[in-house]
Parts: sequence; structure tokens; C-alpha cells
Amino acid sequence: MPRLRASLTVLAFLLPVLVLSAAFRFLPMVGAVGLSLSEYHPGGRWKFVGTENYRSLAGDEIFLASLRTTVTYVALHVPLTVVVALGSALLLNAVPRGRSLFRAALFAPYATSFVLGAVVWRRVLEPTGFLEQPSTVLVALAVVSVWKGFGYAMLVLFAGIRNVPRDCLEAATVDGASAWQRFRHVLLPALRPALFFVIVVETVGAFQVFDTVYVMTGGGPVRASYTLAYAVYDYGFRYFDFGRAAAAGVVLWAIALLVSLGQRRAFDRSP
Amino acid sequence: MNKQAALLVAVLTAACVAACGNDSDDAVTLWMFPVIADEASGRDFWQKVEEGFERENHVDLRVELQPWASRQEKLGASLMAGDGPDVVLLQSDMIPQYVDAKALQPVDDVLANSERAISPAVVDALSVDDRSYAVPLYRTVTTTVYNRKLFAEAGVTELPQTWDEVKAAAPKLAAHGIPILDYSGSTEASLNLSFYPLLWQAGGSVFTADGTKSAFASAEGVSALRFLVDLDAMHGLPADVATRHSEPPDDAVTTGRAAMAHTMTADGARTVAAAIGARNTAIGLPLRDRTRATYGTPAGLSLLRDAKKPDEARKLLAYLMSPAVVDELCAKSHYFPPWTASSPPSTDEVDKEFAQALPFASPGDTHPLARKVMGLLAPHLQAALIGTTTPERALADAAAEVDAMLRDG
Repeated sequence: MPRLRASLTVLAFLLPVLVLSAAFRFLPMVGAVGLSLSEYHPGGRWKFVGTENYRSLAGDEIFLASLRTTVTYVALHVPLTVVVALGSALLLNAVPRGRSLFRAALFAPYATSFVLGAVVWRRVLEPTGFLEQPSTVLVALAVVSVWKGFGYAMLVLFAGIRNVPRDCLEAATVDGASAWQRFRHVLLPALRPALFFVIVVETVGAFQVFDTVYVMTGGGPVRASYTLAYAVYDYGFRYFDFGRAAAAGVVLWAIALLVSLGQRRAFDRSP
Repeated sequence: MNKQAALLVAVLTAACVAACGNDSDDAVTLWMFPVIADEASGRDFWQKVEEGFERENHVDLRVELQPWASRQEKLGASLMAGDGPDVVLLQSDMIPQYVDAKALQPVDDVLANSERAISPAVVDALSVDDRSYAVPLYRTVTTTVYNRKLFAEAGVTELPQTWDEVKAAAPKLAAHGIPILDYSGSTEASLNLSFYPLLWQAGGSVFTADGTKSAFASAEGVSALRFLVDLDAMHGLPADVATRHSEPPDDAVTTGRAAMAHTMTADGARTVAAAIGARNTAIGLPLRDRTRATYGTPAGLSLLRDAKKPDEARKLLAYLMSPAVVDELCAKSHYFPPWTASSPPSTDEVDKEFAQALPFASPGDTHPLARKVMGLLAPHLQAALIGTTTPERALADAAAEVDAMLRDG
């Protein structure tokens, strides 16, 4: 009986999170899957169409191109973010004084309104022509996204670095390890959990990139920055093709999930 | 203590969930946009409309003033959520898409009781399959606006009115570092205000007459896109033309960085005049190639299929299309009334000049998939402007995508 009472108490404390998760995570997900199997008209009129929306996406060159664009963007964004965040975290760790000040300064872009930041970046980049050329636009968008988001990854990695036992680093130094060897063979392995977290979060975020594209390029020029999330927005809110939008959203979710699981397996396997 | 706290958490959660229910009210809701550019004047007008309607009909009215930006997306999202207004302002070219989405109710019965004769062209533009889906409120027109001073400084004494004259003047302005034409190539810009008027001027159209195929990859379409590409080669368009989205007051004519715009609204012309001076601002007829044409569209109030108060909403439509309300709105917004005998909304010189363009205005090729066609065509126009493809190839590629989409629905 006391055990039952304890379980009920735990359940009651978990109730807010469970309710919120069910209402704002699981139900919309189930709804999106249902919607992706239907032809939906505003106001709730819908018709079950099976996998028609998925079949139509599979033959849609623009959708497939948006998929390739998104993968390219992820391939640019994630390594760049990790390198910049790790470099900043190492520098921050090496700063003897005023660390809080530098940390706040480096974290500031993350706390800034992205729309505001993107408008400023757009003004900065316009004279360079990077946003007007299909060959450079994704790089420009990735750089802006890294500027905006690296602060969070930096904090996670910085916390990881601070948790590395000092005696391990000191022992390596005594054994004659160079700075690179200490980084490569002591620090980096110790940072594996933090790196895994950062890479997964950044990968999922990069697959969902929308606001940067919306504010800075509108998917152009010549669809060079037309990402999957932007396609979902176009299908749904511009063309009212809600079934197809939901199907594209489910595809996006499935890809992000598979990539995250793949990353987890890769991290688990590596020594 | 734990038990009490847990009980409290559970009760609070249940209360929060219960509070998430719909907060329905008895008001008829109208989504309106900044038709009257002056914010204070617009607020006063709609306040007066609210009071007048409520007094006459004993029905609560809530006018929700929304920004123009992303209105299509916001309306789509609210319809999706089943939380749309009862009545919304739509432009004629948007109506077929909403009818196709089964989002609107016909309003022929309301229109039949109009106190004043409405222009048949306006009624036609707001109809789909001979059924009216909006009661007209006003009509807009766009035309050519010039910076007279920039032309004079470049030694161009006659303001260009045809494509040939524009092309002849472009190098002279370019020599002074000024592109002759402000043009928006961004995929965010409506083609109704950028490429389509040029297509119509060349004698082309977006769709075939039966609406089953695209028609823009014709010789006329190529001619229109070639005109832009040639101008760009002469530095006659802004350097960032392919991704540019010009909107007053940041457009290149208002800021003195381009010499003319081919589809400016009357409000835009006023903004230009305020920025560069009325003496330096000239308003002309729409440009001409094979024909003279421009974009202008009626706008009307549509009744949504899922209106929560459909009967009261019909009363609202009848009230809002009364000559007293329409004429005051047009006077304050400087838009043209939808009546058969349409006179300029005011005695203002800008309105008089814009009235000259009205006979050349058209809402274009209305089609349920018109917006989607714009989304498919715009990137190919960008490719031609950037120079990665020719006008012929760009339009042919776009036509292949559009025709496949029209075929598959």
C-alpha cells in the first residue's frame, strides 16, 4: 500500500509534464501522421487518401531537391558549429580572468532575437553578393546560423571541459604529452558525452532550419536554399496542401530520428 | 506534505487543462488589413463601423486589424486550427484558391441587394463559376512612377513610356550609376507586381484560356523576360535584382537609387513624393510594349464557410457594402470605389493620375493554383536574371514544372 501511494505521488508530480508532452508533442505528432494520410480542407473536411501524399512527394523533383539542399546545409552547419563551439570553449577555459564577461559576450548571439539578427546579417551580406549566388548562399546561411547558435553548444562543451579531472591533464603533462596530445587523447575522449549531445541537438536543429531561410533568402536564389522545412511551410500555409505538408513533415521527422539514432550508434561503437 | 503537494499539482494541472478550452463569444469577427494607411485614421474608421453596425443590427462586431505581411499564411493557419474569422478581406486573385479549398460561402444573395450598381468587371473578378464569393469594397490600380530629377540629370528629357524608350534611356542613367527600373526578383515578391504586368504588356498570359496549361513560355513571355535580362546587362536594374524585394519606403525609387517603378500603388507614389519631392515625382500611364497593361484588382469581403455566426456575418457584409461605408473607406484609403461609374476617390492629384491607369488594370489570370504557379515560376525567373540560364530555357523549365503540377492537381 505505501508503495502504491508513493507511485501515485510520483505520478501526480509527473502529471504536468506528461499532460504537456501529450498535448504539445505526442498528439500533434499523431495528428500529423493522420493528416499526411488525408486530403484536408480548412474547417475539418478531409478524405482518407492512404499513402498518396507520400507517393506524390517521392516523384516531386522540387521536394527531392529540397531534401538534398537540407542535407548539404546540415553537412555545413554541424561541423562548423562544433568546431567554433569547441574552439570557443577551449579559449574560454584558457582565459585566466574575466571569464564570465567573455562567456556572456560569446553567448549573447544565442540570446538575441534571430529575426533581428538575420535582418542585420542580411544587410551585412547583401553587398558581398553571397546571398545572390546559388553556389554561396548555403554557406552564408550556415555561417549566420553558427553565429546565432554556437553559444549554447559552447556552454555545454565548456561545462564538459571543466568536468575533466585536472589530475588527468596534469599526469599527461608530467608524462611529456604535448598540448595537442593532451587535447586529442585526454580532453576529447572525456568530452564524448557532451559532444554527442551537441552534435545530435545541432543536427536535429539543422534539419529543421526555417527561420534563417525565411528571413534571409525566402528559399532562393533559384531554390538554392529551399530546405525541407521551408517546403513544409510552402505546401501548408501558402498552397493549403495540408496533407502533403504533413507528409513532408513526417519525412523530415523520420530523417532526423534516423540520423540521431545513427549518431548514437556511432558514438557507442567508437573507442 | 508530499501527498498534499502532489494533490495540489494534480488539481492545478486539471485546472490548466480545463482552461485550455475554447473561449467562445457572441461577436462576429472581421479580419481587416491596413487598407487605410494612416493607422490612427484607420482605427477611427473601423471603430465607427463597429459602432454603426452594432447600433443598427444589435450584434457585437469585432474588427481585428491585421498586418498585410504574411496574411495568406496567417489565414491558412487559423483556418487549419478551425479558429478563423467570420469575414475576411480577400483580393480577387486569392479567391479561386480559397474556393478550391472549400473555405468560402457564396454571397450572391447579399450582392443582389446592393444599393448601388457595381461594375460588372468587379463582380466578375470576385466570382468563380458564376457564383460571387466576395462583396466588393474597393479596387486598386498600379502604374508607372518616375523620379523626374534622375532622368533630367542623365539628360533624358522625355520620360519613357514604352519598353523601347526604357531600353534607350537605361544606358544614360547607368552612366550616372542609376538603374532605370526598380524590380523585385525575390521569390517572396508577388509576380502580379513584377513579371506578370510585363508579360501582359508583351501580349502574353500566364495560363491558356481553359486554365489547363501554362502559357507564359510563349514568344511573348520570352520577350518580357528578355526585356529584363537586357536591362540588367545594361545595369538598368539594381545589382541585387534577383533576390530583391522592394517595398515602400525602402524601395529604390523612394530612396533615390532607381529612376522608375513599373507597378507602384498610389500610396507608394505618395511615399516617393514625400521622399524626393512632389516636383521630382511623375506619375505616368502603365508601360507599353504590344499593349498597355498593369495590375489592379478589386478586393472584397468573403464569408468563410466555417463562420461561427453566418447570418450575422451576412448582415455585416450588407452593412459594409453600403455606399456610405464604401465611399468613406475609399476616400480615406485612396482606393477606387467598385461602382459602375468609378470616379477618383478624392480630388488629390495622385488619385487623378492613377485614375488614368484604371482602364488598363487587370487582376490577371485568376486560377485556383495561381499562387502555386508563382512559387514554381519565380525561381526560374531568378535563374535568368542571375544569368545561369537563358530566358527561353528558364520559361520552358518553369512551364514543364507548372504543366506537371496542373496535370496532377
